[in-house]
Amino acid sequence: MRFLALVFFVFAAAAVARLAFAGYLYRLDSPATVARAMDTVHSAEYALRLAELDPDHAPAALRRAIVWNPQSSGARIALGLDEERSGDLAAAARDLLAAADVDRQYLPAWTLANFYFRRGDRDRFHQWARRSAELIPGDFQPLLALCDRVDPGSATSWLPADKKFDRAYLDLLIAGQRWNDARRIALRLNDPKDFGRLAAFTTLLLDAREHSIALELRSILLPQSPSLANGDFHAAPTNQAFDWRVPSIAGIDARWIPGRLTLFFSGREPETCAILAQPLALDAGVYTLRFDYSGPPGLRWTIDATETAGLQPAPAWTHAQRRFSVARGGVQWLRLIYRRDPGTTRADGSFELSNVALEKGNTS
Amino acid sequence: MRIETVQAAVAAAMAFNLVAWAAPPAIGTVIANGAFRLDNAAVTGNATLFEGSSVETASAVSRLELATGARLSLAASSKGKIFGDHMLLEKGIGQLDRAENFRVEARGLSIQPETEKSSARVALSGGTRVQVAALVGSFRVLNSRGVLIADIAAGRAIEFEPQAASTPSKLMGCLVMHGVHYLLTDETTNVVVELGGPGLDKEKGNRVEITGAMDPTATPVSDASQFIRVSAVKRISKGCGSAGAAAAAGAGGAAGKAAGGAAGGAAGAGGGAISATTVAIIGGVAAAAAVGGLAAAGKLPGQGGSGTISRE
Repeated sequence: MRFLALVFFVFAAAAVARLAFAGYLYRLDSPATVARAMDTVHSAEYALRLAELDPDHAPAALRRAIVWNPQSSGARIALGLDEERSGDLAAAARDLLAAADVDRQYLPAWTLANFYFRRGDRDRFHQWARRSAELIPGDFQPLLALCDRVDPGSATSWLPADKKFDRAYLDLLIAGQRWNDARRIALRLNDPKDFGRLAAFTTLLLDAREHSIALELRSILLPQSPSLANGDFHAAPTNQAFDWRVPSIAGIDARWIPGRLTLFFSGREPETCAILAQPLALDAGVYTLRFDYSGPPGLRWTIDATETAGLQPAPAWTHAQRRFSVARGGVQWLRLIYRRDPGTTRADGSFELSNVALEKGNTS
Repeated sequence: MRIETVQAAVAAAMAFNLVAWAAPPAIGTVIANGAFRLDNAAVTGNATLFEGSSVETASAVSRLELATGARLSLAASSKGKIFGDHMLLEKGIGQLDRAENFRVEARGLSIQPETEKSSARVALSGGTRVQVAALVGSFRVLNSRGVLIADIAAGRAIEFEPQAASTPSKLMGCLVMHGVHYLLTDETTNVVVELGGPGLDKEKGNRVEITGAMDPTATPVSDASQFIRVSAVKRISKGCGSAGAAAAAGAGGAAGKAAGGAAGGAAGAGGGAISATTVAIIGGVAAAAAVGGLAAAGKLPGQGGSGTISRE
């Protein structure tokens, strides 16, 4: 019994020493030492490392890794890619599919989607792209970018119906300034929790003067809304889409409270500047702009290039209205302009604005 | 080109370019032991490369295999834009292997292999410098105007720093006569230039340092890459034999250390800006033999350790 224990101990010690030696060789991390470590303990992990360190002998090392650990999808993927590179496409497909068999996670599916993309095999590409989409752990954009190369503008059509893909795809299309493709996706995102994304898109469209698409999105963001949005300042200006823009101007501070916007003039502001603006969706016709205000002189409303009469200085709340006509329908910018009047100093004090409303027709 | 090279290129072309649909053709694959960014999106494992794809590594090396047969690596924390015939290195360190007709561009310099099996490492350091280490085979380095500014032999490393356009050329080497032409092979850059100007005749056969300006209107003799109108000649030593050889060996030796040393150290090892008093200036670029630094041979940063690709 004692002899058997001694024999067992010797064998165990030898095995531990062998493992430790192999580990030591592996950590030296050169092709020669890792190859020795691999041969010593027949480790798939070591074989994978050897394949990285010595690309010329990678296929042999990877095949051994697969023998030693048939569940190693990493080795099968690496071998498949290597076979693809060397032109052995049948073997590449076989090994990549085997990787997907032993590993039902994302990477083998993604690798196969890429492989069949490169092969130009649309059906199998769609099959594995869809599978990737079901398993994708993080960023959807690489998958969507690949799908978009196959089906430009319709990348999500083969993916599982899920708005998370539409959202990511919209971002991708916007980044590429593909406005019309983005429009089709955006119109599908008719959901309040996507309104932030749609508003940001609308802002970009307005900046790019893509007014027709911007107006389509307005109907989603502001259904039933009059031509002028947030005129009663019930919400803080967002500087987005068809809401108020309150530009940051040196010498002028803005403060919003529900129902009112206040602009503080320091007396050091520029002599001329637009202090407030909003894009309006207008048809051709005559409009009346009504508002309540108080504040210093030098302010006036403009609609695109048309300037209305200046506002009278008003130490207390005053109701006023301005009429203007629009010759052609579409997006027109309403702006509140400050311009120092000749013979006066720059404005110093606060300007308050509330209850801004726009009515079509020459009402009084 | 050898038969196996042709076969490899054909296989690679078959592997990557048989896309039967209207999609733009893939130019290769990128493979990493972990995550990287492809066109600003996070990817794990591998992906397909297209013309102009941007690859940015995180903590692991990314290996790029192109349809042309070129093999590239991007070290950890590096970034490059990949094209079918070149990579634009934007950050960190890149390595080029087996790429006869492939070049790396970095900060206006173009690094081109001279032979099929050449291998080189290119590192950006500081705000303006580029370090090139030829690991296998030799490499030519051209400035943004396509002028040859260095011919780097295997085992050597040179650090480059673009200078102001008006900076005169400054080269050191043995002044020799070739027919009726004065030639000088710069000891740092190994570039042969033809010289013209006063004071050269009496320094023939000596090791000299010359200052001058490239004359783009003059056609140099076939051995030379450019013609330099010399404004000043300074003798370093009489004759060329031992002193020149020693200097050349010194530069080569220093670079040899770089090529043989372990990777590591901070980017831009070698301290401050390249000093105009200690290096060659050619084609508006200062060049100095590099010792150590991230362009040195050994593993690329991020290449160590075992992979995470395995699903075992």
